[in-house]
Amino acid sequence: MNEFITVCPRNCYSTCTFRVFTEEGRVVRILPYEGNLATPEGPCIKGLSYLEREYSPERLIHPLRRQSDGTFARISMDEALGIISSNLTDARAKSGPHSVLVYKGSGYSGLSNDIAGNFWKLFGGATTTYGNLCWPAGLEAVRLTMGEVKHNLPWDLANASLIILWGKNSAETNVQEMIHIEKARKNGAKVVVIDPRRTLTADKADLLIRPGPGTDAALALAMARVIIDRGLTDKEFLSRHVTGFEEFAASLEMKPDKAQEITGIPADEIIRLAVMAAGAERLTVVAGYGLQRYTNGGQTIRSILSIPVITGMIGKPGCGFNFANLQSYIFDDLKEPLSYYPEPESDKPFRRAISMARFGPDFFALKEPKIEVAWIERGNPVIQLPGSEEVRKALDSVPFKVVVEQFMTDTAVMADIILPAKGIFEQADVLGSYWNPYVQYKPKIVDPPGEVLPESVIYWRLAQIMGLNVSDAGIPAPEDYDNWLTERISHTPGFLREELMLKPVIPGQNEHPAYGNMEFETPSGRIELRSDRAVKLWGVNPLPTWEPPDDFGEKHLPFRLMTPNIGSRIHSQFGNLDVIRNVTEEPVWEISVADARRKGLRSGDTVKVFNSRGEVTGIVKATARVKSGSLVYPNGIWLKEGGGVNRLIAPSETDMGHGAAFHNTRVDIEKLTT
Amino acid sequence: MRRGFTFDTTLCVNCKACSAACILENGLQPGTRTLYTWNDNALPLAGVINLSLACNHCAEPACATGCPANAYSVKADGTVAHHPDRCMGCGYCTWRCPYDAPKLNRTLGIIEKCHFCADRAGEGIEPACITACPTGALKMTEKEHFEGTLPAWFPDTGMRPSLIIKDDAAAQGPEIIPTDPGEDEGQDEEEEEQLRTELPERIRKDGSLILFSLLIISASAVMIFTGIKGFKVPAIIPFLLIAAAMAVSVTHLGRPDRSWRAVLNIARSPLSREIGMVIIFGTTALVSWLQPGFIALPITTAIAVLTVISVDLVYFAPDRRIGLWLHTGQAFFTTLYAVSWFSAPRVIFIAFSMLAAISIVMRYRSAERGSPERVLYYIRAMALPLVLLFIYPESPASDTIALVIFLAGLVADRVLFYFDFNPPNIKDTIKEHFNAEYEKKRDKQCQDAGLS
Repeated sequence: MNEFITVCPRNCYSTCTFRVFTEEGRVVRILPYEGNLATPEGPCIKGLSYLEREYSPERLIHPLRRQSDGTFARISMDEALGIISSNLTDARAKSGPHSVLVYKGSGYSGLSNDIAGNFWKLFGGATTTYGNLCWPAGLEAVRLTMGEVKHNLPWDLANASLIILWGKNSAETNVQEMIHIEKARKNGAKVVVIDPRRTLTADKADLLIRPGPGTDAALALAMARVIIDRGLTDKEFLSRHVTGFEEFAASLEMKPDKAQEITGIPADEIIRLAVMAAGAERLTVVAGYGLQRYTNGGQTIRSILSIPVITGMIGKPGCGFNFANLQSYIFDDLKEPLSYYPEPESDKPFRRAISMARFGPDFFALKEPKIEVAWIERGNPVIQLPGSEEVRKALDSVPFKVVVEQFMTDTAVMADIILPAKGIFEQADVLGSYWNPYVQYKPKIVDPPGEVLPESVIYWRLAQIMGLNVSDAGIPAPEDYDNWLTERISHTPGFLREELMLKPVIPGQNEHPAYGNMEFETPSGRIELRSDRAVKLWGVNPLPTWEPPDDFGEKHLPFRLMTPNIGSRIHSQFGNLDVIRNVTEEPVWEISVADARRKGLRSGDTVKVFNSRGEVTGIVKATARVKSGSLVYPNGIWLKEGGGVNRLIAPSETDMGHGAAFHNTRVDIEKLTT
Repeated sequence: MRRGFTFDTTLCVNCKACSAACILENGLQPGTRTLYTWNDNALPLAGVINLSLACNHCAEPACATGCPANAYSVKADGTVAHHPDRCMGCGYCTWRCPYDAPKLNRTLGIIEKCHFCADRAGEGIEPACITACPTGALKMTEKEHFEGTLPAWFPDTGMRPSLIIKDDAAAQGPEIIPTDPGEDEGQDEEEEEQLRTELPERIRKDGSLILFSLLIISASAVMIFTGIKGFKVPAIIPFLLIAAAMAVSVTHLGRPDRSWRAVLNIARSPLSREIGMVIIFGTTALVSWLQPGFIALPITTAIAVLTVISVDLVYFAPDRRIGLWLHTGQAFFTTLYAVSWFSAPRVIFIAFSMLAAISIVMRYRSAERGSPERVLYYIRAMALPLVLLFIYPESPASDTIALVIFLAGLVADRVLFYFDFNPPNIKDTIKEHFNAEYEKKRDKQCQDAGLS
């Protein structure tokens, strides 16, 4: 058996390192890699399932072309690339490069993705998307306040004496974080979860606080007010490192009893929580991403971040605000969230962009040129974008569509040409992570099956067919790919390439504890509780505030729709695999016991969930895991599994960062009589 | 040194990687390693307990001792190994294991179970479930004896499982602020649902066993009356009934071609003994038909009774509850009373009838569980007086009706038996424990609320 050390390239906090064993060119075993201190135990169920995913009989391994009757027929790679290049050339000649829409999802991470950007630049530009579905509101909130988005090493959590998991469901979305949380607990730390749901993570907590969805900022600001009123702030820290504290303190109208009205948390419990947070020797607040997928999401993260700031819990071991740690993204010229909305001038001739969050309406509002060709890779927009029905209609209106995919997803079935996408083991790459501090090398372990080509090769061959000059364009020939990758990582200082080939590396420039040198890359060089940039860039209040989450005109509907991520999937990936299906339950609509009673629903009933945008049907389950007034259905379920819940979600952006305000959606539920 | 799994409930977050790894590594059936959860719906006041279980490789493995085909062996490191090439797929070990570890693979017709990833063991690598666990909740331990390694809520089965469960007594679930109105009441409707869908499934699964036991009971009853003067049933009948029973029992096996292995474990397996008794009984019946009176009546009677007892012991070994004895006793008396009807003295007939009625009354509890049981129970109970009603007219028509009613009652009784037969499963025992704990907490909370 041959052994390799590799890394999972999905859009996930953990970015696990694991060992892979091959026998006769086939991956046969996956074992943990203990050397990564963030993920020293096994990979998660999804990582294990690569043993199936790589060799699944359902995997697409040949190019497919849509027939006139709607079915797909296998064609050769040469034929597929020929058809694609003539469509691209024709569209560019007829209507210009902006008649080509390029949609890239987050399904695969790695530097090789640069080559896609290089190709479309060489093509002459394209229409793309700006923003991001996931986390930009929070990223921008942290960037505005702290200057950079980073936090302590993941295993430093074990040093905290109080951990507040604010809207983060580590047990399902970052399972190895539970190792470090349990270590902290064994060291005597208290763990508080703040979440409307009783998640699998909350099962392990000492205290669960359940504010209503979208009201977290009100809770945070009331806590800040209690801490300030009681003189529990770190005054020296504030005077040396923080800008805008006086204004912030003076602006705080959110008293506990007012917050009680908004959040549903009794005022005395808010006080207890605030005093507990301020009294903690080492406080780490870990914020999730669900709570910033609201129209008030950025302001919510600014409000929560104010708590570790005013208590001076920044820049020390066991302390901090963990939203994302971008310190391993050392090869990027432009880091998130700025890369989601580059300065217009920086690539002006290159692209025209529409909002990812508002894809449907923005698409139909496009002036000339209209979209002639759509290229979709690493994503499943028909399932993942808000207002998914409009997205489907938008794509349906495009005359020619190419989808690069591993499986017949709800997006792939719309394609005119499907190109089979590479698997995790089939091309070398280098990637960072937003939680795991390591930069990691992902070796090529097996040859791609069938006619699968890595995207880099697809682009190179397309360029050849289209007669584009690839020299110096950053589109390497297949045999030059490894050199290209080596070259790509060779110019970043503080970093040993040779070491990276052997094992995951924490780059020399990693700062731990984060912000330990008390330098903040904000305009003032200090932590900015008051941010003038927030006003200038996003038109929000210069101070953290709670704004009622938008209801999109449907306040009369009684339920807030929550579509959280679940442990057996990364968004729409992995749920199609047999091994995942074998050990997990069918997705259901979760409703609180009280609401179920009110609506006359029993677990197992077939229900219709609806709003003005549409309806979906499914099975309901009454559970104490859900708070009254909310309905919960997991994110990323395919249409053929009964999913497609995003059709209910209004295409709308967050208050900052061009994120998607998924969770503002209001819905109602009704029993279907069959 | 014995090898055993160590499971830390505080680290397990119910991610199911262990179950998935087991399937991926060994191609074993889903559920070979199972994640059980109690309070999955997260009722407040109580913690959510996750427990990942595969085979516990017990020091006193009931699966191995009960296996009629000697398909199990125990290795020096305590691994309870199952040998697929020796398994005839009778499924008896699935009744005997309270941890639900052996699983019948219906495609292959044999049992499959955890073998500590035997291939990996050869390479010195830990089992797939352990290397898969992302939080380190599952580990391997080597110990001389696994004693005192289990929390109080884990039932003692007397099988001495090689298992360590670490349980954080403080992990009682989080304090929840605020709780939702009514959510502490929960819902138990789902379980009822499950029971309703279970009936056809169980009849399909146990159908051949129901038929087998009916045939054996009938054969023994006829055999016992054979010697009575005026008995109208042909002498070949007991033999035919037993031959039919044996044919039925062979078809029930996953691998009928290996049915000869059924008697390899006479020393320890109740199932081997049963098959042995059936063979002896069949031979006796054959001889008694060919050479009437060659074997003395007391001996044939004793063999018939012993065979019925040996059938019962198969069930009684995993499920030691008196209810089952009542069942079989009743079936036996019923059969005797039915057969006695062919042979005259009404007083015997009525005596057996009374005994059958008593055992039915004593089993009233069966009817209380759910709707299918209740219906079966009443069919069974009504059959007795109805049969009596139709016997006395003494016309061929009413005799036929009486026979039909009698058979319906008997079939209902046997189906009911398989409902009552419920080999212990620690899943249920643990659930009862946590439910009781929860009720206590709720009562206490109500009391506290009442006081304040």
